[in-house]
Amino acid sequence: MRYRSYLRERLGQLLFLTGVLATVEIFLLTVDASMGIGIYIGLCFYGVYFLMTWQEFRRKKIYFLNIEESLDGLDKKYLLPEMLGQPSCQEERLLKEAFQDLGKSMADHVNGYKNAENEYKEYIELWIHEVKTPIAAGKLLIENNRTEVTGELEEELEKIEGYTEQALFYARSAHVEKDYLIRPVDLKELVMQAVKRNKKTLIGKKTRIHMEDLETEVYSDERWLLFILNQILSNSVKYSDKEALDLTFKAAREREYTCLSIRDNGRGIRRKDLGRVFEKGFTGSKGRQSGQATGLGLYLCDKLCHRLGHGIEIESQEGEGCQVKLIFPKGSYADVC
Amino acid sequence: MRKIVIVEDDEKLCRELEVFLTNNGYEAEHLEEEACTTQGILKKKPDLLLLDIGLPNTDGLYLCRELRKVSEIPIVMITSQDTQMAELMSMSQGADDFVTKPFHPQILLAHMEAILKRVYREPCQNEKRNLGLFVLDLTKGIVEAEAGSVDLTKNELRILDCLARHKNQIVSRDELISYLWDSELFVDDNTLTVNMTRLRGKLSSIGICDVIQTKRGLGYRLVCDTEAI
Repeated sequence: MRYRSYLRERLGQLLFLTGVLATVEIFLLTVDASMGIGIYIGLCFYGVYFLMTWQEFRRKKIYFLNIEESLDGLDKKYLLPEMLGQPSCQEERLLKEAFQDLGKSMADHVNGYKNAENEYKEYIELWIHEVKTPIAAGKLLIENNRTEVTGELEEELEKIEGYTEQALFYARSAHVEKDYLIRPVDLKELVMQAVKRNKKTLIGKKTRIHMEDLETEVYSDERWLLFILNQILSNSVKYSDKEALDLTFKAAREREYTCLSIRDNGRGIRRKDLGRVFEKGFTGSKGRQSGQATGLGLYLCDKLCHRLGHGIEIESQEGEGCQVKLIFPKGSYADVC
Repeated sequence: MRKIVIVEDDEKLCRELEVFLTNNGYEAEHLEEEACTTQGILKKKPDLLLLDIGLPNTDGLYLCRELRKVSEIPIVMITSQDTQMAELMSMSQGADDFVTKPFHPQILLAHMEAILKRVYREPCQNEKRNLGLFVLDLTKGIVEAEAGSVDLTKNELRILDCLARHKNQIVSRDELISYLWDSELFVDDNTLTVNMTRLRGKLSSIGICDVIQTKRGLGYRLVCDTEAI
């Protein structure tokens, strides 16, 4: 705010004042008053006017500067009305009320969406829990009636189960806090569980499993970690093009962290795609070709890892395979547990 | 024969569970909705109870707690809620185990077997298998025949065990590998071929030849009917 522009906005007042002064001066001339009195009255007129507007300007400037500073300092800008002090005049009071109304109306608006989103999320979770019963029944039906056809059906059913699980974790990923429990997790146990869970597709791909130095524990949530491993394994299966799939699980204990790497010998990822694999909906040229990619798997892995405080890295040479590294930092809290 | 009682509201799942458990050598029975009370369950005198958490008229957790007041029967909870909370609640109400839907049937079976074995301390009958020409001793890991006995490695033992479970039936290579993986022996195709050759060699060294037949493109078959050889 500048005083000059402030005055320019009040040009009308100034002109009016000059007009009034002119009539006074003309009146003084007619009554033959001395020149000195004329100049004195003129100076007084302008002096009082500028003093009054200057004071008003200062007050307003301080008020708006305060607003500006508060806004800069606020993380959530809509909390501004709470930061403004007691209004010192009518204008400020009205402005504050307007701000408050504005904020309240916006909050109502946002709440509407929040509720809708929550309801939808609850519905999705409920739906997923409902659909698990028919999947379980389907699996039993297949187990009780084993033929060539049901074997293939089982594979499809397992895919459905995989996608359902992905949906559940997607719905939950925004609110991980609700449902995780950090405990020591035995890596070997975990990897074996993940391999067993995917055994049907892995055996179908004639997989050779190698495990190196997995006898170690990390601090994590077992269920989330298992989901992450599942996603990585299912990627390895999807993008394998060799006669036999080689999977190597290896753990390395460093001073600061423990690292679990999963290496395959599949198609690998193009260099230009490598930086974008964790983006939501990114499928890459290979994924699009096969039409199997959803662009969600690695995105979710990254998101969950981030929530759990783990690191995830991916390295790849096109045509040679790729390697995913999960990094579990040894935080100081881990020692306390 | 152990008697399993199923308390589950999904009719189809219930029926298939019954068939599945019956096929696997259990006596299975499910309860009608009205009979889902402590008395109703105990009247059936089950050796093990499969209990769903989400029941229409009552609550599985409540039933579990009530049952625990009067009975010590093993209870396995089944639920589609795969949260830590649900698991914790079940265990704290006195359940012995917790399986989430959609469970793999064989895994459910393994859980149940483990509990039954622990609770009733059955002398395991399956440890020795009489296969006509020879006896497979699973605890010692050896094959005994008239001409002598031979030690088997872990892999060979599991392969023979799997074939013995399906004697005179064709078992595909994939099924064999899958069975081995369940026992945490992650062999691949080549290793299976090598193990198979060694197993045959060991068996023939004690005079048992041609019991494992190769069916090209299908798998293997263990012949143990004496007349068939």
